[in-house]
Amino acid sequence: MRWFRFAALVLAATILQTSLVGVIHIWQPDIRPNLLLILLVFFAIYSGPQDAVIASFSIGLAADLSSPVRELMGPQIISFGVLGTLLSDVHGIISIRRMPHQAIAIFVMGVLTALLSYLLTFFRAESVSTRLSAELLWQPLYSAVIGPFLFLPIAWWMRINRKGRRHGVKRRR
Amino acid sequence: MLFTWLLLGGLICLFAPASLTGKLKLAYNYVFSWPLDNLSLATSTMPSLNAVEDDAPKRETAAEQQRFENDIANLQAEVRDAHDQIAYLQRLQVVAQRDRMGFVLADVVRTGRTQDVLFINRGSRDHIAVGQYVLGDMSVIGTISDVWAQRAVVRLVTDRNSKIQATIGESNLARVMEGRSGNIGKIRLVPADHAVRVGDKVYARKVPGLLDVSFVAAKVTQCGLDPENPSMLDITIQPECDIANLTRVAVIVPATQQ
Repeated sequence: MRWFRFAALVLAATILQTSLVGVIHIWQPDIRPNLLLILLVFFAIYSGPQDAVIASFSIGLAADLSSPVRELMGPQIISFGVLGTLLSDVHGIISIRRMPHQAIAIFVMGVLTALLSYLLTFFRAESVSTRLSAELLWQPLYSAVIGPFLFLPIAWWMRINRKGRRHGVKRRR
Repeated sequence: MLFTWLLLGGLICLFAPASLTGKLKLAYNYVFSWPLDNLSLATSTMPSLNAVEDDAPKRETAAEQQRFENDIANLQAEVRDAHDQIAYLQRLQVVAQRDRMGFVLADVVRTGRTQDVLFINRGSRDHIAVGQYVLGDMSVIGTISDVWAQRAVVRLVTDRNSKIQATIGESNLARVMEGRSGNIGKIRLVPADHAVRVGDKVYARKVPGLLDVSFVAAKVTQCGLDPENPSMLDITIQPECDIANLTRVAVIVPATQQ
C-alpha cells in the first residue's frame, strides 16, 4: 500500500466531502454521495487484509473529524473500522469485482455504517441526527450509483490495477 | 491484533470527553481552514443541480430583505421619536430662564390605581430624584414621589398628598395647592378681598434649584367663600393638562445633570 498516496487521497476526499460535494446534492442538501464510504469499500476490496484494517479505521477517523453534525468522535471510527474489516474478510470468500456487485457493496456498507454510527451515538446519549433517512438510505444509494465509476480513478491514483495488484509488482511464479 | 488495537483506539475516542475530542475537530478545521473556506465559498457561488433547492437562496434573500426593511422601519420610527423629543425640548426651552433647567423626557408607563399617580420609564439612572417637578403638555402636573433605578412615580397635583406652592393669575400671593380626589385640587387661605375669577391660571411657584421659572399648573374652576371661614375664599382648581391621555412627560432636572 502506498500510504502517502492513501493519506493524500483520504485528505482530499475529506475536504471535498465537507465542501464541494454539496454542489451535487439532489432534492435535499443531505442527499449527496459519501466519498469516504466509497473509499472504504474500495480499500476493503482492493487492499490486503492488514492494509484494509488500517485503511478502514483511518477513513473512519477522517469521517468523524469531518462530520459537521456529531460532537463526539468514535462512532464512525468504530463502524467504518469494523465493517471495513468485515468486508475485506468477506471479499476473501466472495469476489466483489463487477460494478453491480460493487454498487451493492457500497449501498449495504453505507446502510450498516450509518446504522452502527447511529446506535453508537445513541449509546453516548448525544443528540441524535434528525436526517436519519438521508444517512440510512439516500446517501448510500447515491454513493452506490456513482461509487463504482470512481473506483477507476482511485485505482489509477493508488497504482492498483483492477485485478487487485499494484503496478510494477510482478506476479510470482 | 492490529484490529483489536485500532478498535480500542476507536472506543477510547468514543468515551473520551467531548471537550477533548472537540479540540481534535477544531484542530482539523483550523489546519484545513484555507481549502475548506475557499471550496465552501466556491460551492456557494455555484448553481445548484436541482430546482427545488434553487428556491432556498431566494427565500433566504427575501427573508434578509424583510429583516433589513424592518430594521429601516424601526430606525425611521426612532428618528420620528427623536424629532418629536427635540421639538418638545425646543418648546420647553424657548424662554431664556429655562436654559438653567434641564429636561428629561419620559414615557408614561401606566397610571396608578387611584389615577393620581403616574409611572414613568425614567429613574435614578437618568438623574431623576424625589421632589423634582414634572411637566405634561407644557404645564406642571406633579412632582416625583418615588424613584427606582429605571422607574419613577409622579405624584399628580390632584393627589391628596400633593402640596405645591402656587400663585393665582397675576397675583404674587403664594398659597398651597392641595390635591383632592376626582381630578381636582383646592387652594385655601386666600383672602376674600382677593380678586379671583373662574378660568384664572394657577402657576406653580418657582422653587430655586427645582423650578427656576413659574409654570402654569391648573385653572380655577370654582371660586366662593369658605363656609368654615367666610373671610377666606374656597378655590377649586383643575389641571390644565389632560393627564388621563398623557403619553410623555418632561421631568425638570438641574441643567448640569441633563
